[in-house]
Parts: sequence; C-alpha cells; structure tokens
Amino acid sequence: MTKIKNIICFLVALISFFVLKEIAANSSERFETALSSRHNNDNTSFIDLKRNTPFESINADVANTFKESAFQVALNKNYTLAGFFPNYILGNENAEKTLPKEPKEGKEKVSPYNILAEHLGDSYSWHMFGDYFGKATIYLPVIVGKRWSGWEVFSSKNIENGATYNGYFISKQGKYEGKIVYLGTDNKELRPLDLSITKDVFALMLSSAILLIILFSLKNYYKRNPLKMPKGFKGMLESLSLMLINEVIKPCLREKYREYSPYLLTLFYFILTINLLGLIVVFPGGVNLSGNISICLVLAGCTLVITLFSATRHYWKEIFLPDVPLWLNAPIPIMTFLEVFGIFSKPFALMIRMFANLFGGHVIILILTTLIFVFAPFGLFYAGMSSVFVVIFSAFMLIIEVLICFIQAYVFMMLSSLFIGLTRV
Amino acid sequence: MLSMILLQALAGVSLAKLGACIGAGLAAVGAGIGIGKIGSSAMEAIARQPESMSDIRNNMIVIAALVEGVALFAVIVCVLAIFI
Repeated sequence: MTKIKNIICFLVALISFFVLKEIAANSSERFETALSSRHNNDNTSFIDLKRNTPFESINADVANTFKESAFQVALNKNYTLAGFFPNYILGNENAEKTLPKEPKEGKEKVSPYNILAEHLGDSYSWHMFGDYFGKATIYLPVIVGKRWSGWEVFSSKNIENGATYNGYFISKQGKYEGKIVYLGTDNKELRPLDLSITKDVFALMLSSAILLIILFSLKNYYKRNPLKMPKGFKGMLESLSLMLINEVIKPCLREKYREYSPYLLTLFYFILTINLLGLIVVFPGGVNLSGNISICLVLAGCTLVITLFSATRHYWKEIFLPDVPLWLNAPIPIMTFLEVFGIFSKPFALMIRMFANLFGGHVIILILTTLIFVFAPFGLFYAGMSSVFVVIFSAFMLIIEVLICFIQAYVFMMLSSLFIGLTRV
Repeated sequence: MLSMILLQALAGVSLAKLGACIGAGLAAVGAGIGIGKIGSSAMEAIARQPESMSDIRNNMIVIAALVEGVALFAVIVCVLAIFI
C-alpha cells in the first residue's frame, strides 16, 4: 500500500515540476509587468505589491530601503542569484547573466595548479593555518654552503616572498624553480650545497619521533610487566605485530625470521605512520611525505641493500650461472642480464607502487576540492551543486585513502620479506 | 581524417598531452579488467567454501594492490610524458 503511495507522490511531484516549469517559462513577461506596475500606482496587475506590508508600516526609512522586493533585486541588481535560477525563468535575452564572471579587483583568480604545487611539493617553511585562523607559519632553518667557502645557517623568514639574504634567494623559474640559488659569475643561477631542513625533512623527523615514542612505550611496558597482556592501544599493536610475524614473515623467512623481523616491522609501522600523517590536515600531519619519491627510493634502496647482503652463495650462482641451455649463456649472457635486471626491477617496482598510490590519492582529493573553485565563477547554482557532489565524493575518496594506506604498508612489507626470503633459498 | 586530427593536435595543444590522456585511460581499463577478474574469482571461491573467507579476502587485497601497482606505472609514465 505504501509502495503505491510512494509512486503516486513521486509522479505528482514530477508532473508539478514540469507544470511549474512551463508556467515560469511562459510568464516572465507577466512578472515584469507585475513588478513594474508598482511604480505606476494602478492596480491593474494580478500581483499587487504596493500593499501595506509590515516594512512600510514600521518606518519610512526602512520602507524606502525595502521598496523593491527581493525577487526584483535578485534578478535585476544582484546577478549572482541570477545564476541560481536556470535560464527558462530569466528568459533567453538574459542568458548572458549566467556566464562566468571575472573576479573583483583585489582578489586573484584561484589557480588549482598553485594549490596542488604547494600541497604536494616541498618548501622551506611550513604554513600551518593559511589565512583562516590567522597566519601561523613555521620558518624552518636553511643550511646552505657555497662550495669551499663555509656554511651559513639562517631562518627561512629572511628569504620569504622573494627577498634576498646574503646573496641567496629562491629562484622563480628555470631549472631550479622553488629552490635556493645564488648568482655566480655572469649572472648565472648556481645551486649551493643545500642541506636545509625543509618541510619534508621536518615532517620526517616529527613522524619518526612519534613512531619512536609509541613503540618505545610499548617496549617499556613489556619490561615492567613481562607476564601481563597489554590492553587497549598497546594490545592492538601487539596483536598486529604477532599477526604480521606469524602470517607474513615466518612463511617467507623460515628459520631466520628473528634477524629480519626488526627491519620488516619497522618498515611496516614507519610507512603506516607516514601515510596516516599525510591524511591528517592539522599540524603534526598534513605533509604528504610518502608522495615524495625520495622517501620511497630510500626505503626500496634499504630493501635492495638487505637482499644483496643477505644473499647466499647459491643465489649468486643462480644469477650468474643459471641452469639453462648453453646458448642462453655462452656468446651473449642473456640470462645473466635478465637476472641482474630482475634484482633491480623488484625494489624499483616497490618504490613506484607506493609513490604512485599515495601521490595519486592526494592529487585526486585536491583536484576534487579545487573543482569547486573552478566552478565558482559560473554562479551560485553551479558552485552549490558542485560543492555538494565534491564533498560527498571526496569523503568517499578519503575513506578509501585510509584503506590504501594500510594496504600499501602491508604490501611493501610483504614483498620485502618475500624478496629477502628468496635470496636465502 | 586521422591525419587532420593529428595535425590539429600538433598545432594546438600538443601531441604529448593527447598521448598521455589516451595512455592513462588505457591503464584504467587494464586495472579494471585485472581487478575485476581477481574479484570475481574470489567471490566464486568464497561461495564454494565460506569458512575460508578471511584467507581469500587477505590474498585478494594483496593481489589487487600488485595489479594496481602495474596500472600506476603507466600513469607515472603518462605524467612524465606531459612534463618532460
């Protein structure tokens, strides 16, 4: 019974929508004459707007300011609301009011490329709040040294906004865009040795500190109560570590799992911490560290070094003298090339997998958010509709990002343990 | 007809952007097919033996991450094609 009622209600709403659309499309002329007859003081329109409204009875000044109705103001004076009503209410001759408008003077156009570059790139200072709650920026130290002439340490506040300090400035374009350079002979931009603490380096130190605090508190718990089971957050860490050791590390590294599980578990927790901190927006997080390919390179490089140094003699024999027919080895060592390429391609794949997943996830979320600003000049209707859609979709993407953080840490650790296990076979 | 389109692309934006977009689209198709096959076989296996559901689910997630890694290789190459 309720199903039929729902269908009938839906049909009534649909039909009334179309009926009202037709009325509105055909009666724009009527609205204009109705509104304009206010000033002629004759009651020939079917809408009599010059009545004793409450505004007129209160105060003459108030009455003068509210002389025109809100609808008339919206249509004729304030063109932002003109974008709210679709074209068939305005009539075709007013259609150009719904075209995108230029921004007012003093405000610059929002550029999605700049927003993306600031979030995903590296910089010499860390903007914590932007312009909303007042500016709060951490000015990180810059440590630069011209070759053979000594090091200089100064706060990055000195080179903010294009200023020059001691000959160092941030290059605006060219090969070293966004990095500190100094002018050498014949005005060429030269790059000094740059060991400064940038935003990524500082976030790396912060996330390492957080990881060390959490894990060392777990270790101290075990030292103090060696026989009691931990509860709560510590219990979750313990059961997670046990699950990883028993199901991932032990099957790959059968006897020697105790030697390698410190490295592998550290890898897992470190990547997890970095990924999750990249999703938090406020201070300790907000820096997309695993979207920086250098971090992924170093982690994959650690795995590569460990696999090379823990390989047995049998493994090297398999690579350089595999058990294959003679012609694959003798004049041109094809198999050796392939095997050596395989040694380097596996950690390379680890690096690219993690980098692309985390970088791409952040790019998608940021592009969706700046899509609102791309649609904003078109009017209130389009900005409103796009912000509804964008909020829903980016909430969905952020939930999937959390899942991807876990999965990427797990897959990195699992493949590292697999590679180390393969070399010890 | 195709040569006209290519000439316009060369004269206008650039051929690199066209190639990058087509490449990224093909990578998405590849990832979709691969992960779809993994998902379908995982569903069938769970239907056959419901008590091994968590095992199958863990393996499915791991293999989906590997296949998606390959698709993201292609995306990285496309992004490089635009900027280099």
